Amino acid sequence: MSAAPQVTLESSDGEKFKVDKEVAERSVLIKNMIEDVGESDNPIPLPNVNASVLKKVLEYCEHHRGDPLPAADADPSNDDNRKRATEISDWDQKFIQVDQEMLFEIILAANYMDIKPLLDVGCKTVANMIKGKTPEEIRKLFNIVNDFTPEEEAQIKKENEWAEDR
Amino acid sequence: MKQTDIADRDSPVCDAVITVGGEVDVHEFGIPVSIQVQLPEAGASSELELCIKQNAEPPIHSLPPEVFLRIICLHMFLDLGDLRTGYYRRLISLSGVCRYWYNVIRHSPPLWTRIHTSDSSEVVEMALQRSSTHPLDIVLHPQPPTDELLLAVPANFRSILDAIHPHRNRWRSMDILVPSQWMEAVVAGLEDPAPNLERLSFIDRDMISCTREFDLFGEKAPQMNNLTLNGVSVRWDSEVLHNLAILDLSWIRFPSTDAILQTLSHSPHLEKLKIHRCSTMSIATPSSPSIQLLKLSRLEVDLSSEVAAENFLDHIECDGEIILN
Repeated sequence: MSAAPQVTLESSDGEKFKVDKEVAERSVLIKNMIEDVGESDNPIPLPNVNASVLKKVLEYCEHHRGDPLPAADADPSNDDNRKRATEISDWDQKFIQVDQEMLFEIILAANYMDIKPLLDVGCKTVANMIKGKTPEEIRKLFNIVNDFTPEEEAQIKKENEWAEDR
Repeated sequence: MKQTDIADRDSPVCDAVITVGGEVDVHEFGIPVSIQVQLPEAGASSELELCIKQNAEPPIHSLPPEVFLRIICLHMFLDLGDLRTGYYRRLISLSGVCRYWYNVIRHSPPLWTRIHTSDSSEVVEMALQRSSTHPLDIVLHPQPPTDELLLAVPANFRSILDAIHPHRNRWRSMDILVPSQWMEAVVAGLEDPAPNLERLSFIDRDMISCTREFDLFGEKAPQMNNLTLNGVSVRWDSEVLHNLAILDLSWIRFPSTDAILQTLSHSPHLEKLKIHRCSTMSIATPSSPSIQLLKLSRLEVDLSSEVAAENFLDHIECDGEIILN
């Protein structure tokens, strides 16, 4: 039995990762690169992803290597699709329990490498983090400062009043 | 600031996010969103400049605008689900986090496409303006009158009807639940064509089985494929009832079974048909044509009498599941 074909990925800080092609191809970016360039022993450079993040991304791809790929034509405005898109599996929940910096690095990497299911897990996690929080609590959570002018604050207050229960 | 009025209602269509430096295009849930970028004007207070600089640092602000917008959309769905009340209360609250959040939310039309009678007329106006040219999903569930004898449509409901009318080219879905005495006023607002309306649910809250046949959309709603009528009769030969995929009729008295069979003949691709608590003034005759509905997967029939229901089914050819109530 022949070994599964492998490819080498190179992170922005020069670390090389040899992985099964099937695993690497969870990334649409890498899949397209392999298709464009053809089989090659040269490492595939990923200049926007450092080693620690790439390691984490590959852990995700390895775990989900056999999963069906998301349908490209799934209508995201469809409620059923959205509902499906809001669920996070137990494994994914544990996987994404990382500090905020790593969380956003993973989201950025998933977006850059075009790994939609991982991007969804990251976005859903952040969406859940702000659930039920006031603007002030959200500022604290993400280390954001209030940069509105007093006039802008007044406008927002007015809009909030319009939106209050009638 | 180049644009100090953060709620600039007269600004040109600028569908999106304001950060620093130019114009780009992004996609939110597959919908293209053009991003207009704006810079603080020279002379802004140094304290404000410092705050804006500081706000470029949090990791969440390192995300591309389309990813950030995706998070907001997911959050709105997770937090509030479907077309429930309080949607804009939450959205406007989120926009109060900082200038960046305000601008992403303010300039993302897909976030503003829900129109609900539980919102104030100011919010409805705001949503109509901020949704730009995007399709609208409208829910008209006005509060029932406290005085059952009240015939007049309340001013706030009337103002919402008036506000949405000029946007009828953008109507995508419409859920209407009104008391019988307001039916005429509502129908008056639905007389003109709705060229992009895909789904209509029109329910008489009092479920009075009325025979008055309304003319909807001047017979022009060519995209409509999903229609629910409950206690509301329409002209059964109207083109509005052509090419439907889903048809749900309740509490309706049909002029004849032939009339409804004729209606169905214009929707050969019908997938689901439900006739619930309806009646007919005359059943079909042996010479009435049979209707082929080959794509029908589910057919529920409740036509007040078994004879009428069986007579109706005798004229339908389909392979789907049939439920006779």
